[in-house]
Amino acid sequence: MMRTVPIKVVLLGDGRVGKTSLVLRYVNATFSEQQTPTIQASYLTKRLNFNGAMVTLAIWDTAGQERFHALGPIYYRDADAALLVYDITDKDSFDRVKSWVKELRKMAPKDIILAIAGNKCDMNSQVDLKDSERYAASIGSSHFNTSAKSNIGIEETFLDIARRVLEQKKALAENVPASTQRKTMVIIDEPPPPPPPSKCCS
Amino acid sequence: MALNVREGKIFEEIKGFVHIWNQKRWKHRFIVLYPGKLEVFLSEEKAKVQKTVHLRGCSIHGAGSAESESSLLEKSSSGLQLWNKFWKSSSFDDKIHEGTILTIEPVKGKKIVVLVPKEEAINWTAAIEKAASLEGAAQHDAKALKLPDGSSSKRKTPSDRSSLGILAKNNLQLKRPWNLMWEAATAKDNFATNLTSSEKVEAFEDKGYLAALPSTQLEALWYDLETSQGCTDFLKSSCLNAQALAHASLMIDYFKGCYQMGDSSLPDELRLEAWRGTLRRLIKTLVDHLLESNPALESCKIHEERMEQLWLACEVWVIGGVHDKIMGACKQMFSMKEKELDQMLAKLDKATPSLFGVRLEFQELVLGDALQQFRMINVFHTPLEKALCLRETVNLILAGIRRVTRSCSGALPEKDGLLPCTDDLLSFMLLLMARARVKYLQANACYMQKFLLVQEDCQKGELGYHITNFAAACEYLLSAEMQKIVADVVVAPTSTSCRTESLEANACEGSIHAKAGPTMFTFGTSHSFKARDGSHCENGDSWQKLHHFSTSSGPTHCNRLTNVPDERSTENPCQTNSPCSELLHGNVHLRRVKGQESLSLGMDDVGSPKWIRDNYRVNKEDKKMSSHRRPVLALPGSSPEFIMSPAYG
Repeated sequence: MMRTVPIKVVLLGDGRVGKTSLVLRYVNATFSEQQTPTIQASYLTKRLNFNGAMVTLAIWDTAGQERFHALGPIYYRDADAALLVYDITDKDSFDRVKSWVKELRKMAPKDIILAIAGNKCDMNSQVDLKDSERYAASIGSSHFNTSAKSNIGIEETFLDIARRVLEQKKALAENVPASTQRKTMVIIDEPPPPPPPSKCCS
Repeated sequence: MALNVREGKIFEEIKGFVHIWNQKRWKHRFIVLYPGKLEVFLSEEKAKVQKTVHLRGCSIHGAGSAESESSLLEKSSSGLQLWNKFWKSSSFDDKIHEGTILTIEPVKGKKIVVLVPKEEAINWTAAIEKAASLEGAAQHDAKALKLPDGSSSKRKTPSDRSSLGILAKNNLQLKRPWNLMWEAATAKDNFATNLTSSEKVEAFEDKGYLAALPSTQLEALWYDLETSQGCTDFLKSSCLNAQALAHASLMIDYFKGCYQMGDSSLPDELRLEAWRGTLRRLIKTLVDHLLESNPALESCKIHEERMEQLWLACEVWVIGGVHDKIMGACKQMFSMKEKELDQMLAKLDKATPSLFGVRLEFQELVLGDALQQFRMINVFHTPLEKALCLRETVNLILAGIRRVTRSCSGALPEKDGLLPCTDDLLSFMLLLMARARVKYLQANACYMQKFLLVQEDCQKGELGYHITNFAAACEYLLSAEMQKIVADVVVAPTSTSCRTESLEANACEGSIHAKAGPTMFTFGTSHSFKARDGSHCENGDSWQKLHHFSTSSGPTHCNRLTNVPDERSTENPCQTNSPCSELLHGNVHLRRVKGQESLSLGMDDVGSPKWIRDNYRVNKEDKKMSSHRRPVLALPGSSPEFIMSPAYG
């Protein structure tokens, strides 16, 4: 039986970097114009057929306001991938990506897939793109230049995420024996009873 | 919604939100049209098929406007009732009032009544007709292409392949994997697949898939499994399930009576994981037992979605049965935090929406129905129902936001900017919590997070998102950030009316609204099964007549029915229940004023009350059973004895 693989992708980034536009462009692009309009941008799904494997991307927006920053781990817990978005016209937003990465390294699942998107690439960049690409490579992430306005690089970004997550899941399934996949914890809350006092039989 | 037929071969998937009449009220559902069939889903995510309607030879009636439709409906009493309920339904936005009702009558099965926006009615009608006709074409092609020797793996000519492509595409609804490939073939941007349709067909021929195509349609999925009532009805529908259910109900009773919830000095995560693991094993035992004893469920073994449905039904039924104990333990676990949260919410009672971060554009939005819906959360007993309640609440907020957005006269990009994002939903959730003053928020969050779909980690879907938002709002209310904000705000002293409102809100937890009432009552009767006269049972109908499901535990069930939060069970969830209870069907209205509880019973909806006596008693003489009376320690990774014990009797 072919099973649809759910992939949870969280969107992280400062406010106003264009997270919502990015995901709306991606999800709405393949909808016909008369399709039921998207009524919210907080949780969106997209079904993909990836080399025969059915994938459902569940794209979770996260709260971007500074006041909600501490809530990040609640959202990216159990995430398969995180897309870190920055605005190429705003260097601070790229610095913020670096702090997100540090936080993810501490708090997120170890095997989370990272992708970085430099959004608004149709405008003049204030960030050295080579630097950002080097940074992405250094943390094992991929880097894409995107523009929600001009629909550049968005599909490639999400496809790359889906591909890497699938590859990782496949590798995990092949390498980890089934018996060890089950999470079990055994706790002994009482010390074993002391051995009976030895009796001298002699 | 648009019909896209390319060279008469490919039928683009048509989908959209409509309202569907379920004999009681209109439900907002997502429907998808495939060649020859229509599938109803709960949401755009298409996670579970609610209903499948086969369109071949169907007739479609009623493409008039809603206004003209109303005059027609008024002629018949049932029509009038339907119409009145439609207008009273709270989840409609204004636009739908201009809708059109389409009645689809399939050759077999029940008719389906769909309400679609007026401007889309013609498109929908055309699409349904086209889908129905394509089914016919597909079957015709199937017959025409059947080879004399019955083999379909023989090489075809290019023209045959082309036809076969249509056949494959149109026949793909027969089997899920094919359906998926069909979607791949028709997707506009089939970027991930480079094969052409004919190449694919050839590849599949080589793998022998065509030969494996069934000649008859696969049975539709079960539906109405989103409520505990639906799940109970489903499990009760076959007498062959009786033994498994009786065994499971014993396990539930032992869980409630003997299972220790672990010392509170143990880490919460560990204890929760232990409960979860135990329940998972209990559910698995029930599923395995059902599969073993009921040949009608054999299809689950080859039909993944049906297997998921079976799991879901068992899970809802089992977790509903242990709700009091689990929820009681959760309440105990979070008692300190709940107290803090209540204090915080009391301070925020009169706070302005902007304090929670609600956008200026949305501040005019009145929570109204969302508030009422949210207050129902404690009425529901299963994590699934609670999560659905949460989703419905968010949908009502979104409907309100849509009304605001529609009234804006900006360009599309500006309107896109008004689409609610997580910041907005989180802000509204905070506002909702402050206004609704529902109790046990933390316990509810934990209960939903840990016990929704326990068989696997399924917190990635839409329900998972809403639960996460809910949990995040609870967390934020207890954060230093919020403390700081509250400290900066001068909170007006609580007035007498405000206190009354708060009491009402608290009482609301215990009051059963007509909407949720029936679900609860029937739910209370579903656990601990005892067959009175199994020997004469031959089919599902007779089973329902001859068998009687009764409960074993007194106060817990009684309180579930009357929906009084059971403080005793909260304080001591491990205590053994008293042996007897009498369960009452009907509407129960509870009001609590200054600690006193008054109970009134409304029988308006259910006619005469139906009493169910508790027949189940644990036989103390039974050594087999008494061996399980000793407390069972809850440790992760180990199964309590009662989980794996054989069926009793």
